[in-house]
Amino acid sequence: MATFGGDEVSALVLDVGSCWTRAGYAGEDTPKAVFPTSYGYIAEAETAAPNIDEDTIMKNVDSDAPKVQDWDALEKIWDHALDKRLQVDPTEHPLFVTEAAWNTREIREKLTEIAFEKYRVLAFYVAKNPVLSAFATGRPTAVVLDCGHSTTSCVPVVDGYVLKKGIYKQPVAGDFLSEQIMQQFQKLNINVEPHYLIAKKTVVEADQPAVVVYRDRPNTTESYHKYMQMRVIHEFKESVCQVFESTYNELVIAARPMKTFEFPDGFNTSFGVQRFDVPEILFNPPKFIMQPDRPSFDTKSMLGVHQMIYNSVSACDIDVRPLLLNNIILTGGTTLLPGFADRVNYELSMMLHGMKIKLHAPGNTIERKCSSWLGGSILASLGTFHQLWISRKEYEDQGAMIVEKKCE
Amino acid sequence: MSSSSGVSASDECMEVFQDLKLKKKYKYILYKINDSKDRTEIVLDRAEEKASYEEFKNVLVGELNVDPRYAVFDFDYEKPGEGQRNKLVFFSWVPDNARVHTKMLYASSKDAIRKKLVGVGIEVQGTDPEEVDYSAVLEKVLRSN
Repeated sequence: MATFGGDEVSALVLDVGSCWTRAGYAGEDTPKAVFPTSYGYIAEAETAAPNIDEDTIMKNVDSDAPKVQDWDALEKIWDHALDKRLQVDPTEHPLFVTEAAWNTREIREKLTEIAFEKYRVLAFYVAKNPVLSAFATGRPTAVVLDCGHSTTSCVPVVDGYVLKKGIYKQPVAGDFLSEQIMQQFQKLNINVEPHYLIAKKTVVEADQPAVVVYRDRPNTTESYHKYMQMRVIHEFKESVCQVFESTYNELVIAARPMKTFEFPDGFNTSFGVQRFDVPEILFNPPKFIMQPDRPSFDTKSMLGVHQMIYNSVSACDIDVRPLLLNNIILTGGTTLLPGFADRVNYELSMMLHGMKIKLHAPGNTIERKCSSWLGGSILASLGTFHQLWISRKEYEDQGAMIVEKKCE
Repeated sequence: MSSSSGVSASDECMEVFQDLKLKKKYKYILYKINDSKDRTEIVLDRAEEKASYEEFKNVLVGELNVDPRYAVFDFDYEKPGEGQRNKLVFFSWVPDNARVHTKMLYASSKDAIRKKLVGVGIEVQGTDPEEVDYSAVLEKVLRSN
């Protein structure tokens, strides 16, 4: 069998998340390219636009659960990563991709097929995100809470294998919080004008109306406008929002210092209790969710993240539960909200009296945001990993079904 | 397949384990992934004939600093009301302050050695000193039957 890895040819590692795509070379500590998993296209042509601009329609690729209609979009992301960002010829490299724990056999086979048929890669491997995150913290057994952009998921990993019956996931994560913040702003009569619309702003006192000159952008699409608004909200979320570290108590929270945020148009105001309200959704969804404008969104069935961890662990064999509770890994950008880890710890201690609970949340932001990419990068660079790749010959002999056999 | 990383365990690992298990020749064994450039194999690091649990723990959490190891300890204990008992305890020791590269390597290669050590009764996954305390291991051993 041909051998790969080592010093000869470095493998490419691709992690297409629901918000960010990470791409780079195996063996490196950080991905060479990190870009949004979104692309713009021009309405008439329906082709990907070379530059994302006001007249392009923004489309987010739902990589957590690609449906048939998203495959073209996913291929565009791969194209962009390999061709434009890494500027490599995929036929000269093995390709390592990460995937959601709940991917079906059909999706995995399709990924394999695209890799070999369209990109003609030398060799291919696909590994599950939570397994890579667990390994990267030195733990073959752990429960991985991944709170990212579109999905929050909780997955038990035992001896390096995902226990499918313990997978819990729901669409309440960073993106949903941003939408809710948008609704909160509407209630507060705050208008979010994104940076691209602002020609000139003037410094104003707190809570005074903005004094601003707008740019005229008549052909802007609604989706581009929303995409840019969400960027502002994202910044707000990262700099102002916080999770209260124990049971939500408005009186206590009201005594906390307020935080000021300046919007792109110069309007600035301070947020007190409000900056805790939306993150509280992660722990008490039925009570704190404002009716979202998403059809078929069932607020009542959403769980707090601590409840997801509890359910996930409870679905596993009783012998392994103490070990799982002692090895809870937090990953994904939304877990970086201040207070998040303390709150998870607090809630679980309340639910599980006397059980030992230990959270592991890498302090290093790269490790937290890119843990599965990093895990893949290390694994794919190991000299011994060459036996595990699906080679082109194996694919040609056995077809895409080989992925189920080789990438457990 | 040997393990998620492709790393496998050398024959010597098993031979030394048999000497511990059957002949009680050793008190504990440490295994490591070889230091050669390509790090392909789990090999014997050392086997001690006499040692207390504390001495063993001090090697793991002290002497080795941040280096991960796999280990087997021949654990004697007293079961209340039932007298002296003995269990073989397997350790996957990957300290939290180790480099991410070695953490990934050791965690993804554990199966290669663990699956070959037939007769191990208890498995300990250690990432901080508290998890390999005598009391923590004893509790685990007593909970099993």
